[in-house]
Amino acid sequence: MNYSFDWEKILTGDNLDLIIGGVGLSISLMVVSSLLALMLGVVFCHMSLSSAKPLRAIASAYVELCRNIPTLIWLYFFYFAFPALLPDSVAAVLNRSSQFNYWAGVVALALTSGGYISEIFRGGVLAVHKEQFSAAYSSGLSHFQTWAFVIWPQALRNCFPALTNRIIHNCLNTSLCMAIGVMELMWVAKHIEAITFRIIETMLVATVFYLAVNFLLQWAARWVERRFLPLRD
Amino acid sequence: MRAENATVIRVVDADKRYGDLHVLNKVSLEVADGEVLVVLGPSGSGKSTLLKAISGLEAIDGGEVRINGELFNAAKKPSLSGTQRAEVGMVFQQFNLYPHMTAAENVMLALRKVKKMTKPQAKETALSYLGKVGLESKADCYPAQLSGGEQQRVAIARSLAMRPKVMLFDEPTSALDVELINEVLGAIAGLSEEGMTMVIVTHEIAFARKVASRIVFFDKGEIVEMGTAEEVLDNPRQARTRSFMEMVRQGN
Repeated sequence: MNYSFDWEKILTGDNLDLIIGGVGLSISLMVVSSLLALMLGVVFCHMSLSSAKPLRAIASAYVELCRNIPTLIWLYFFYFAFPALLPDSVAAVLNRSSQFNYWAGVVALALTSGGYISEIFRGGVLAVHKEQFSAAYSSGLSHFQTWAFVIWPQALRNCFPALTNRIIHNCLNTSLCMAIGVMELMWVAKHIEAITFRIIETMLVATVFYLAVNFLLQWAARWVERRFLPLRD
Repeated sequence: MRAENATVIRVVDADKRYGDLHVLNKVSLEVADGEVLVVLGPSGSGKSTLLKAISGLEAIDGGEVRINGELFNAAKKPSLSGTQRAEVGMVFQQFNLYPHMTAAENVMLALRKVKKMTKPQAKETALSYLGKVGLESKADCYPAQLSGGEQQRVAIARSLAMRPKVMLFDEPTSALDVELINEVLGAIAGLSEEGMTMVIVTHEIAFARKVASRIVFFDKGEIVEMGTAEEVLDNPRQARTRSFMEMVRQGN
């Protein structure tokens, strides 16, 4: 191997500050986009199960758009194309804002993951026995109470592994935001590599971070499952 | 103050179609306070749909259902509040306990959310009703840890805790192993002794004979025959009733 490692170059001084900032921004992207994706997932799941045909059609169209268009294209759309569709004054404000690429990234990630998550939720809900609705109705529970206390708890238990899978995937996808200039860890790694040419070290740093996120989330998922969700057998 | 033998359930010309299938054909019946009405009939006759129409689970296309004079079901189905719906308790063939909650929590849910009891109040009430069906010791067990008979008794306690005016039972023992049937039938018989107004769909003829004030033979969406146990079981007047009873006797 012809490569000599130089860890000091990338793990000290300015570069270290950049890496720490990148980690912070990556985590922020992961948390905000995942939460938003979960909310979108719940909304579109209810729409896809609605008795109103237009609502079902909208939900179906949304899911198809999310599943068939690469996340990267969504990122480019929200950062470059979306402002151009708005009135000039609004577009100017957006383009001037230093936060815009962050929020474009969050929205694009939340939208795509939200589509998958709404389908995951729908599967979980459909797996709940229909007669649970009858039992809740006869007990006098309202529509909201039935969903909140009887249906959703069971639906979540049904789809939890698929859900955590998708959340983890969403978190790893935050690395795509480098394409629109968000200074998260992937962008920082590339930036440092461009200056120092230390390709293996920089990519390893990024890899270790994403691996750590993965392990942490999987551990957290197992903990939640054990603590809150078992259907005791 | 209700007069003795006041009518609790009044069904007038209840009618329902599923496409071509005329599942309820202008059915009319009345159940008086404290009466136990047993509904017998072949599968597909519409007995379950009749129960669901009385409780409001299924809307009817024509006619009306009144519980204590209040309109519960009609072609234009009235919207019923939680407390109203809880006045008609329903016990299902498949128990339908909430699997993610303990037995006590199953009974407590509606007490807390519909009757607005506090958690300790609801817990106390739940435990007393579980005690009534002999399951106080299993209050913290999940449904998956209970036998079928125990699950069904928890389901009965869950409905009873809301102090319904009427209890409906849709084939309560049909999903149970033979040795578990008696504990559930015992619980239901106990209720009838306390004067609960009940409508029971069942295949247990001996049980029907014991608890029923009246028996209805239901077939193809209509009441074929109605009377006391001796009349319908031993001396049926209609040919359809007779052939059904023959079939049942041969089965036993």
